Formats: sequence, C-alpha cells, structure tokens
Amino acid sequence: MLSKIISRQDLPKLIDALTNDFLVIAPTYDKKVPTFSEVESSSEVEFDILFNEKLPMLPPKKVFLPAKQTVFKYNLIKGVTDSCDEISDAVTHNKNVVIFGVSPCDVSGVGVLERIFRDNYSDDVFLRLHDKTTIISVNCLDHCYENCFCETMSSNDPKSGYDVMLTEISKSKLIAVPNSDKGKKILRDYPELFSQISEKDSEAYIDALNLKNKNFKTEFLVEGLASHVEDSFESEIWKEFTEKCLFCGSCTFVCPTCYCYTVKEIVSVDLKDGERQREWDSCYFPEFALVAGDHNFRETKEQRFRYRYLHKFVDLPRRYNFEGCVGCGRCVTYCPANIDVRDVLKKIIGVM
Amino acid sequence: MASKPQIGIVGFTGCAGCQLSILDLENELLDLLGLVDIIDFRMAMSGNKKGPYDILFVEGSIVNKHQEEELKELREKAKVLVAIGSCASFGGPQAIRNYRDNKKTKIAQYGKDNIDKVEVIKVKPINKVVKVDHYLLECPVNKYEFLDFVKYYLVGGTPTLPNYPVCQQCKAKGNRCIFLEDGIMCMGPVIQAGCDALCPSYGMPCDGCRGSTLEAAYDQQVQLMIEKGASVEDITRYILKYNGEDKQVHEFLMEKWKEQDKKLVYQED
Amino acid sequence: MTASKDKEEISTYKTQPAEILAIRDLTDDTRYFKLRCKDITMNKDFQYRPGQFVIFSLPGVGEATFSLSSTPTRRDFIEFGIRKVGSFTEALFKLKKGDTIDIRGPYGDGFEMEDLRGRDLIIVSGGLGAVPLRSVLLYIEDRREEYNKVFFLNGARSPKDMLYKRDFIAMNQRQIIDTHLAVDEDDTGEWPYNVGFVTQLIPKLGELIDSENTTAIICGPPIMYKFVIQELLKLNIPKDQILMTLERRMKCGQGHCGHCAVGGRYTCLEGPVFTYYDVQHIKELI
Repeated sequence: MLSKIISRQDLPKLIDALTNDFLVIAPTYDKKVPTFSEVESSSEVEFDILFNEKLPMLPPKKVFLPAKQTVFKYNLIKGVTDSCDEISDAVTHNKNVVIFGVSPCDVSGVGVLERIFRDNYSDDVFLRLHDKTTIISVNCLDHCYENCFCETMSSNDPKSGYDVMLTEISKSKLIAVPNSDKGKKILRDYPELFSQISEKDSEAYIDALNLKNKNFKTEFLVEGLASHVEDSFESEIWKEFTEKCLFCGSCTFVCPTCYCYTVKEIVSVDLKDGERQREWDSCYFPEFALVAGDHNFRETKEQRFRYRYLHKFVDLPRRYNFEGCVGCGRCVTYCPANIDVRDVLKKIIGVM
Repeated sequence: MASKPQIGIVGFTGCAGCQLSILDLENELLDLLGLVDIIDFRMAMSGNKKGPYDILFVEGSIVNKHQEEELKELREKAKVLVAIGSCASFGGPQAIRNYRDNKKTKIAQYGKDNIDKVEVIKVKPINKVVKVDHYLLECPVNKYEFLDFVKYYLVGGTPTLPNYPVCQQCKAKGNRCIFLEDGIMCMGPVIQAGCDALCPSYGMPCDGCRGSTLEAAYDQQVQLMIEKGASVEDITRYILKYNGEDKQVHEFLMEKWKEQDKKLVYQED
Repeated sequence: MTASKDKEEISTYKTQPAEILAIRDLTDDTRYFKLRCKDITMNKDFQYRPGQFVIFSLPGVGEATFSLSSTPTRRDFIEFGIRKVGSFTEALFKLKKGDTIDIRGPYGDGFEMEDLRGRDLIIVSGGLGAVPLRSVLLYIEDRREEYNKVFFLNGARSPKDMLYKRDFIAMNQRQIIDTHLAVDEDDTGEWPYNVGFVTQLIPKLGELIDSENTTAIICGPPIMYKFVIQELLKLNIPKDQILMTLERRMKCGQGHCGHCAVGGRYTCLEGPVFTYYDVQHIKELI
C-alpha cells in the first residue's frame, strides 16, 4: 500500500474537497452531544472530538442501521397490493458516502455489523449503504477516555473494515495508510493534499505505533470469557446488577455492535401509500422474546439482563469468533444507572 | 370500503386539550374526513348524533355518578371504544386527589359549607367504568397516534403502541441525557415512548404523560432520583403527576413509597 | 431443499404475491388457508420441507411468521393453519377467497424426511403444533412405504380445539398412521378418545417400537416439551433422534433481527427444527 503524508492543517481542506464528491459524515456537536452528522464544510467538523478524547454518542451504526430505516415502500389497493415495489428508497443517499474520523474501535464495530448482515441471507438494505461508504479512520495512540477498554476486547487495531487510517506521527503531521481500493482512490484523487512519505516519517510512524502498543493496557483477560459467562448462568451476579438496571435500553442503542431491530408499518393518511420500516429494538425490553399466545421466553428482568451478556460474550464468539463488544465504553458512559460492563465481566471472571 | 366508519369524539372531565389536539390535525383533517364520518364531536360541530359509533374516542376521567351512567350508555352504542389522553387512560393530574384526604381536598376546593353539595367521587380512568378496547396516550393525546389508529382500523389491524421507554427515542434522536449528565429529574426511563421524546428533545425532562412503560423500573428510577437530590415530596409529585390510576404507579406508591411519604392516603371507593 | 443458490436469489424482504384459493374454519379461532403463488414459475420454485415456515406480509399491517401445514409431495399450492391471536391475524382473517397476500420464504431448516426412511416414528403434537406436523403426516401418507411404524399422538385442550380432527381420524381409519387423540378436558361428555395429556400416551408405545430405530418428532406449546422429552427418554429413544420444532419471535427470517437468537443459534436459520441432543444444554431454549 502506498501510504502518504497529510499535514494536520490540511485536514479541513481534505474534508472540503471530499464534500464536493461525497456525502461527508464527520464528528460534530449537536446540542452539546458529540455526534456523527452530515457536514457541508470543514467548519462544521469538531476536530477536538477526534483528537481530544471523545467518542460520538452514537457509533457509525447510525449510518448503516439508523434508529428508523425504510425497508421498502408500497402502494395500497384495497388493503392488499398485487405486488410490493422493489426496494427503491432504501438507499436514501444518491452520492457515495465518506465517514470521517471513525475510531479504531468503531471500525471493529462496523466490521461486526457487516459480518452479521452479510452472513446467511445478505441484507441489501444494510449492505447497499455499507458498500458505498468509505471509512476514514483516525488512529488512537492511547486510551481515549476512562471508559475505554478497547485493548481488552482487542478492537483497537483492526486489520480491515476501514479504507484509510490516519495516524498522528507528530503535532503537525499524519500518515494516511490506505487499506482498500476505495482508500487508495482517496489518496490518488486529492494529490495536492497528500505528500510523499520520507524516511523520517516512516520512523515517526513506527515510533507512534510503538507508543500505541505501550500505552494500551488490558484490564482483564478475555481468553476463556465465554466459558466464564456461560458457567455463571446461575450466578447471583446477574441479580445484583438487575437490581440496579432501569431496562431503558440506552446501552443497546449506543452500542456499536447491537444490531437487533423490529419491523413496523407506516401508512399515509389517504391509505394509498405506505412503507415498512425497521426500528432499533432492545433485548432489555419485555416484549423482545414474546411470541403469539403471550408466551415470553425471557419472562424476568434477570433473564433479559443476562441474555445480553450471553449473546455478546458467548453466542457471538461461538458463532462468528468475535465478541459482540469492542470496548468503546459507550454503554458505561450513557447508562443512567451507572452500570459498568467491565464490573459485570470482572465479577464473573472473579477478579473483582 | 362499503360505508365509511362512524366516529364519535367525546369528553368527560379534563381540559378538552385532546379534542383540540385532534382539531389541530389541520393538514390531515380533510384526508381523514374522506375516510370516516365524524358523527359526534361536540367541541367542533353542531348536529351531533349520539351513536351508534364504529369507533368512539373518549377524553377525560370520570368523577361522578352521572358521568359513569353516561359513559356506560355510550359504551353500548360503540363497537370500539378508545381512551384518549392521560385523564381517560390513567386518571390524569386530577387523580392526584385520590391519594390525598378527600375531605381536606373538598374543603380547599369548595369551602367548608359546600362539601356535601358536591358529588365528587374518586377520579377514575374510563377503564374502571367500562371496557376499553384501546388506549391512545399523551397529554394532550398524540394527534398522530390518533390518526394512526384510524388508519390501521381502516386497513384492518390495530396499531401497537411502542412498549419501551422514552430513552429509546431519546437515543434515536441523539439527545443529551439530561437525567444522567445534568441531574435533571427526567422520568423517561420508566415512561412509555411514542412522543418521539418531545420534552427531552428541547432539554426539558420527561414528566411522564404517557404512563408507565411495560415493567417500569420505579424502584431503580426513584433510587437514582434520591441520589440526584430529589426530596420525598418531589418524587411523589413527579410520579403522580399524570398517572395516579396507572396500575404500576399505584402499586409502587402504595406498596413501597408509602413508607417514605406518609402523606399518601389512597381513597378506596 | 433450498440450496444456497436459492438463498442468493431471494433479496431481502422481497415478497411474491399469492392468491388465497380457500379459507375454512378449523376451530373457533383457527383457520385453514390455501395459497398459490400467482407467478406459476415461482410456484414451481417454491420448494420446501415439512417444518419450514413462511413470512406473510400485509401492507399497512406488517409481517408475521407461519408454519407450512401442507406437504411438498403435493404441488401447486401451500397450506397453513392460523390462529387469531393478534393484530396481524385479525387483519388476515378479514381476507377472503380470491384475495392476494404477499409471502416470502420458505425459511428455516425443516425435517429431513429422507433421513427418516425405514425408521419407526412417534409424532407428538399439542395444540397448534398440529400445523407443522400435519405437513410431516401428509408427507408420510404420500410415501408411506418408506417408513416403518408411525404413531401420531395429538393433544388439544378440548374436543372443539382439536385441529384437523376429521382428517386425523380418517387417517387412522385408513390404517395409514396409528393415531391417538387426547383432550385435556372433555367438556362435551361425548369424546370417544383419550382424556388427559398426550404425555400419558407415550409409555404404552414402548412395547411397540424398536427404540434404537425410532425417531420422535415433537411440536406443541413450550410447556409440553419438557414432559414429552422425559417420557421419550424413558423409552430409550436416542437424544439425537428426538426432533422438535421450536417457536421464537422472528422479524426477518434471515438471521439479522436478533429476536430468535438463543445459545448462538438463530431459530430462523438452524431451526425451527432442532434435535434434543443439539439443544439439551442451551438455556432458555424451551
């Protein structure tokens, strides 16, 4: 791969150049909340979110699997249509998309979602959006904030899932490492912003990666976690945390890997047109495992609380060989009841 | 559709805000009138017919015997009866009186000499008097939820209300969590969503007008409110504001919170 | 059946219109629906196995999952037995013969009927479980010579709740399948068959079967499984020869919406048919 150098002060220029050719999504503040939003110029981008240790509240999931998403639209004739329209408006953006400033843990999170939605029946709605998106990641050289535990979940050094990785090699310079054709194209298409890499830059890059290696510490051991969680099925630990939990579902919505959704129906007032939407659902909600005839496979709150952990730390590793957690710490940051996923796991492993 | 469904919209004790809210459906009202015949809507029109109704929407709570009788009569004329708004569904703000000494409330309201002249019984949501087929929530009623109900009825189904807390919609909109980050007493975690997190989206706390969400975690919510500095009186007020006759609110208040707030006295029938 | 090729061709949520050929009441709240895909070529491609399910779509109302009750050995139509339990079925029950409904599927992993050739079969059904098991029974009826002894134990709450009662009795009279019917409670006083739970009928099969060469197939309400499995194990039926079809909430049928996931499996992909051996250690499954 042909890596290039971009100066930090040229980053706004890069974003402005990208906005001409792409729909650009970058970190901004929306009413004091750090968030990924569509930007029209670099002046809207909050670079301090990238470089001053903050994660947007909602992960890039919100681009591919937004809170509400149209699956298809249809026409209604006497209640039942003769045929459903092809998925027409699922791809709301006509341009290709760039998400700028995705942290490595979020790159891993997108990777988890992509695998799940590509597996089995590949999901057109998700993948059409995903496949026309270029992800420009900004590397972390240290834990970004106190709730970050990406090293523990080994998600801070993704080998794929991004198109360009920007790593700070000095206060004024970043190295841009492409990782796909889409990424190479970015470096090629804006030649005035990228310069050749020098010997000194290469050394600085190696130093930066060494620094990264040194800075990141694991908090607890993930090896054997699946067995620990599974063996703790009857543990009192679940009860302890269930008693604190509000079951508001916030943790599942801010989670970069929580992918569960429900499907609902929107009909126009004249009853002629409608659309089917999918909407975020949460396994913490009482009706998640409810079936016709009112049988609920997870009747108690404790079962629901435990299930999320079983799914993330037992089921997904067994099925896909990755945890349903990238250690971004959002669920810790945004839990109104102050539940810390690390505490739950540490207690299960027996190191707390 | 062979003939258009006959619809009635009536009000009992409440502020009539729900009916006003339906009138406020300006852009959709004409389309709606193409789908249904509104035969009874005393707030909006004259020449009202008293049934029979395919769907009857009822606003307000029931506060005296006379209203009870009237509601029972209406029920017999309605194929489907729908409670709209907090008062009809959970008693509304006036249900606070159910948790206070009735005599004292009456004296404060009507004066010592008049208390026997006023026949105010307990404040009842309409489901304590008649069978309710469906609930449309919010204070005043969410006009789009009202519209959805009519649409679904015509298509052949019944809409399901979102059985999850306001937090879902707050996160969906990317709102700041004012409960967590600013210590503002927001009831969002225990309140049924559907309002698209209206109040929190403007930095205001959810004050609970849509009633309890399924299996609402009042214990945990109240514990957090105490930690954030709310007084016992405040907490009672927050919980009781709209939903005095919500089953979960009632159980929490009388089985658990009564030990903290000794002023709570529930008026049995 | 559905090779991976078919899976690729089905794009997400793409439905095909099907005509309602017939509707009939099975019980007070359950109806028989017979459908045929409007596109004849699609109809030929609609290959399935007993135990699989289809997702119905009603624009304006939503989607819901239903087990096939017909057998793939009888082509050109598919059948369902559907109980009215919620808002989707409420709308579905308003449809009439000749109306169109959009369907997608079939989904899930059904019964491998070919693998059961030459075996004794014990088929245990409770309530609505008779719907997918009717598919199994009709399949066996059409290829009766391929199977050894076949016992069918069917339970229902009361005589009026029993689905396909006449069909099953006829099946017994034709001596195709040894059928035993049971009701939990006989409120008519005229029920000529068993009264009690189907589980009570299992022990007496012990002498009639060759345990090692027997496969049991179960479908019924969640509460039924534990007791039926206990009885079957007493007959020394191998754990990997106890097949059960499990119910879960499903929104997509394609392993994405997360609702049916349990113990690392998606009921909509690896299920709804599981062997007891495979799932005996999965918690919260039944």
